[in-house]
Amino acid sequence: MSELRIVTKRCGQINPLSIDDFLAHEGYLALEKALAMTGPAVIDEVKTAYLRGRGGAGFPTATKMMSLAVESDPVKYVVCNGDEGEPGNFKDRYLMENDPHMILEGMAIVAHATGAKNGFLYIRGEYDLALKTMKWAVEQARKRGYLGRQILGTSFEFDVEVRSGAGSYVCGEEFALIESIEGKPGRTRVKPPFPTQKGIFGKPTSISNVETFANVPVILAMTGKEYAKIGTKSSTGTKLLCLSGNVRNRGVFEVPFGRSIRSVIDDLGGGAAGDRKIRMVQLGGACGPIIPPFMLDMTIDYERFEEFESKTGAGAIIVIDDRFDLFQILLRIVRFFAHESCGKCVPCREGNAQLELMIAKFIDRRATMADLVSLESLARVMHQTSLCGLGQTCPTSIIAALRYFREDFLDRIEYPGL
Amino acid sequence: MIKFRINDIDVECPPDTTILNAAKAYHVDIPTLCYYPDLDIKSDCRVCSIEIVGQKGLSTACSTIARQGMQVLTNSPRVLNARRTIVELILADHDANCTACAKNLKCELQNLARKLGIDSNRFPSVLKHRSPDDANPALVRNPDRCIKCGRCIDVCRNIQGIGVLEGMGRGRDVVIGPAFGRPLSDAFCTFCGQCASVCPVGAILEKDDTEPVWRALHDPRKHVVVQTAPAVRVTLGEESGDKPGVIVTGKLVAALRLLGFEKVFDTDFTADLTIIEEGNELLERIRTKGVLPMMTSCCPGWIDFAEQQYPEILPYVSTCKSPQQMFGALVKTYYAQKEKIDPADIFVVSVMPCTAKKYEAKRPEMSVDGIHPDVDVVLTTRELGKMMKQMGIDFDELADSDFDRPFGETTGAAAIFGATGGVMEAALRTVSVLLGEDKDIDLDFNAVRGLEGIKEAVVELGGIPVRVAVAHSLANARILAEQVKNGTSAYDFIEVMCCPGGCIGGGGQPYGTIAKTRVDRLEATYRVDRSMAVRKSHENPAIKEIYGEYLEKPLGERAHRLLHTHYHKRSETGIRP
Amino acid sequence: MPLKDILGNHPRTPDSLIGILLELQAEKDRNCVTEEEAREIALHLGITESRVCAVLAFYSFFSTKPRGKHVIRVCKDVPCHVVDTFDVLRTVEDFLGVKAGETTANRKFTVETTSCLGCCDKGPAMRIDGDLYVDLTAERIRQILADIRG
Repeated sequence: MSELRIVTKRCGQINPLSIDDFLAHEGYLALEKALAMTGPAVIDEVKTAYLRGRGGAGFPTATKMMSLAVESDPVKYVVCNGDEGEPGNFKDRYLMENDPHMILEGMAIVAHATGAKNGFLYIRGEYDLALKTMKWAVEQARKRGYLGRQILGTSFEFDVEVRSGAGSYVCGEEFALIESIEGKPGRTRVKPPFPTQKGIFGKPTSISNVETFANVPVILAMTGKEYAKIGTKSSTGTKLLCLSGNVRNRGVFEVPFGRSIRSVIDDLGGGAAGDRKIRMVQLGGACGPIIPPFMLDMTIDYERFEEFESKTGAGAIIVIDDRFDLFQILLRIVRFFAHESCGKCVPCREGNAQLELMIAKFIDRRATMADLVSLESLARVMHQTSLCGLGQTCPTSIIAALRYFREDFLDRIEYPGL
Repeated sequence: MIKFRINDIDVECPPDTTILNAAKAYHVDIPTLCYYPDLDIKSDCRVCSIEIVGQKGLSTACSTIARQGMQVLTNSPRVLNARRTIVELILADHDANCTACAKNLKCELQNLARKLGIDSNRFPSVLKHRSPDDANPALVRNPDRCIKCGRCIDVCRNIQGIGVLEGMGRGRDVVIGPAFGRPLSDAFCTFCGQCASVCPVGAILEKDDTEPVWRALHDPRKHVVVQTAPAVRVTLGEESGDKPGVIVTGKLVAALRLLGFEKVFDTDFTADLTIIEEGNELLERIRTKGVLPMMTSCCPGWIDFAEQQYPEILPYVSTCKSPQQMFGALVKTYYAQKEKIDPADIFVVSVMPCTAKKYEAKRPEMSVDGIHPDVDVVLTTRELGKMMKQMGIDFDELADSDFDRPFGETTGAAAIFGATGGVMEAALRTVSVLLGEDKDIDLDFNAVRGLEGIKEAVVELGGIPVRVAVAHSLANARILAEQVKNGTSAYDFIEVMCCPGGCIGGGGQPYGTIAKTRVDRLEATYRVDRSMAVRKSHENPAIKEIYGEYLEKPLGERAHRLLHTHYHKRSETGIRP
Repeated sequence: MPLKDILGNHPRTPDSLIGILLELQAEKDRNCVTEEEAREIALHLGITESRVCAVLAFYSFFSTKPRGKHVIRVCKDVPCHVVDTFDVLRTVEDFLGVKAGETTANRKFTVETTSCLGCCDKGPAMRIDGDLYVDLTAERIRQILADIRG
């Protein structure tokens, strides 16, 4: 099977630092088309396309746009979340480094549709090249009149400020991101109110992922109706998948929703590297489930992944072969979250520390059945009661491992008398 | 009205009501921990997690708005398990050595664990020890007990507008404290103690000064006297379970006698004295077109704030000492001479609603002989409560007793010092006479009463319109200070109290102070005023006596030496939140 | 660039804080922000020192303690880990003679571990100052460090 490169069409084909290249490849035509439509009409197009957030949560984009559009405050913010800190994900970096203007185009279309004049593009601090590229693109777009006032000769005005992160995974969470833009530590906020009601500086704010914005010009260009024909009923369009780990071909691959994970790993990824056996695959990122090989026939779409009580995540597929021990992998994941937890709420802050101790017990073969029950119980409580998405999804790998690799846990239990 | 169900009860509430508040109205108790009425909803302890049928995860009752048709479960197996797990997690990162903690039996975490029947913990302790901060005379911070609820940060930043406390670090490395791990004494902390007042556990406490008091009381060489603030007599009963707003003056005095104080005096006396000195000071400034507006100086938290952040306005602040300090100075001179006791043998204790006064008493200039402090020890209302328990005093059974002379005769004007606007009202009652006003001033001057942040009024006194303002909580004080600094202040006389509600809401008062508590305590304060025979400071016969016998005249040489002070600029920079 | 000039490059509003701190730290050989600098920034932006310190303490990039001229950040997350056949961190530590969290005696290098750098298709990876180094081998690492060391 092959890729369907509609979002990544230009990546690798143009000079990302040249706005003229972008323009020569149908750049900003979608924006022009959108500006000839009313805001509600644009939102309708996105609704027909049934675009869903590509950052992991899969929230219907048109609904988010509508929530922002109905706010009467003259100051509104459209924010692009380029904080991509999820281990195993690099698709947003890929887009920002290779087709920067497409993202700006998507932001501008959304701004027009929702009545926003201001935008932020928040990029994690580790992405030096993406930051440079996007800043350069913003400068070019301003010079050529695609950002600023009277864009394309209309009354539409919109400008984007690029902001850098400073090393914090949790700033990919929408309210933590808002706090970071406001110059504070990236701790999430109590909801309600939601960002579209009260976001940056108390103003209505809509935050979407880089890939989500990249899809918007595609939708406007081909029409929502055509877009919706791609993929599955619940998950239209394509998904940028990030293949990494013990696979022959690592990289970003764009496929329509509905393909199986196995076909992506085998056909596009070239199968396991070094002809090893795949032991486990983590989906979505560190916050995603770990599944055994027999489940790889699962199709990639939002509904299927709902069954894991977590979302598809951002699209990472981390292939891990049989040289690696499940518990060492789980330990690494828990330590990641312990390090990145903002510390605001009890279940995440304290839970990760306890999870680390419990996993260590399984590694040392000192665990008991009571520990197994405790582990499962704690993981579920963290999932059910944490304040934000980080805390809610950080135990996903453990919950999934307990389900699909239960034998491994039982093997490590110290049975009395033995 | 929104109609929904909690467990098997049909519930109604107005729109935009949280599930927690809706449940309260129906006496459904959902346990909470970080939640504190009047402060922002934190939703970070997650203890109040409840189940909403049809929703996947659990939601917190404190932050979730009730919606039509919801079915809320507050005790389902998932909820009970979650609640228990969360409290165990907190306890596993907490110094649970309860018998060594002043918050023992008053601790919200302890109460919660008991309520949930938690007497074991499946989680091992992961507590990382961090040293306490006890470098200042007023407050002690114990990071090992902190549960990171964030109430202290909220109160310091949003109510007081100071912002000294922040959560530093990430995840389990978070430590709440001032910048760069400094002690409070090196930061712009005013020692107002509002953080201690809202802390659910023993992470921030007042410095315990009961030991030196016991030692002095048991030392036959020491003549130990005590003074009590106006705001203590309307709150001490709460330490024995009274509802807020009960006047317990007589019992307060009786308890202090039982503890062994040789003399029990009333700070209200020097409050009256403060009015005479300060009233005359204001008069002089008005007459000589001196520095105006004049700002009150009896609140040490406010003085700390002005010295740290607004040194430019120090010339505007009254040079009068606080009633506490005037009292100490007079005891170690006038009283010592009168009773023929060596002042070095006199030990002065004050019972205050305040933590900043512990710092005030130790200021080097608060010593007439330059060696011994005028006030030896300051106890908070809470510490007095502790001492009464230690003595086994049955507060409710005490028979009323009266204050001792010469510092026991006081007025209603003094009694209202504990209320925001009280000092202003008391001052106006006297200043009006000083300015030759023949019309009697309204003895219930409502314009300066109540919990509004900044209150203002214009009073015609002897033909002069005197423009006054009253601020409580430092965020409001800042607004007025800014105006004075910029020369745009529209007032002649300003009263500032750093604690919300005034001293009745002080950092040393019984725990659980919320808006309603303040209202009840204020109401009791004005009741005390109305019950007094004399309601104006200058009409207090004991005050006339002390001027006649000793002080000679207001603002005179002796009055100046004993009853007035000066302030210091604390730092080169003034940092604004 | 002196701090004064950096401050002049940003709007004088509290939300400029992170941008200012990033610029300031990158300028300095000690790769840190001092208390005096934090105070000056706080005054300039009209925020508390506590707020500046809270930001410094929260984000991984910042340090209030002096570090080496070059900060080496080695990725420790799963996608790099499973393709790391020779132990990147150990190679760096052995070459420089310090452990993660430490600075070399000549103050040239500080070694740290970092969360995923977002180049999992080219791992194992490390970041030194503002540069990304991917497809690492033990040889490449030693060469890179030797080149920077000079």
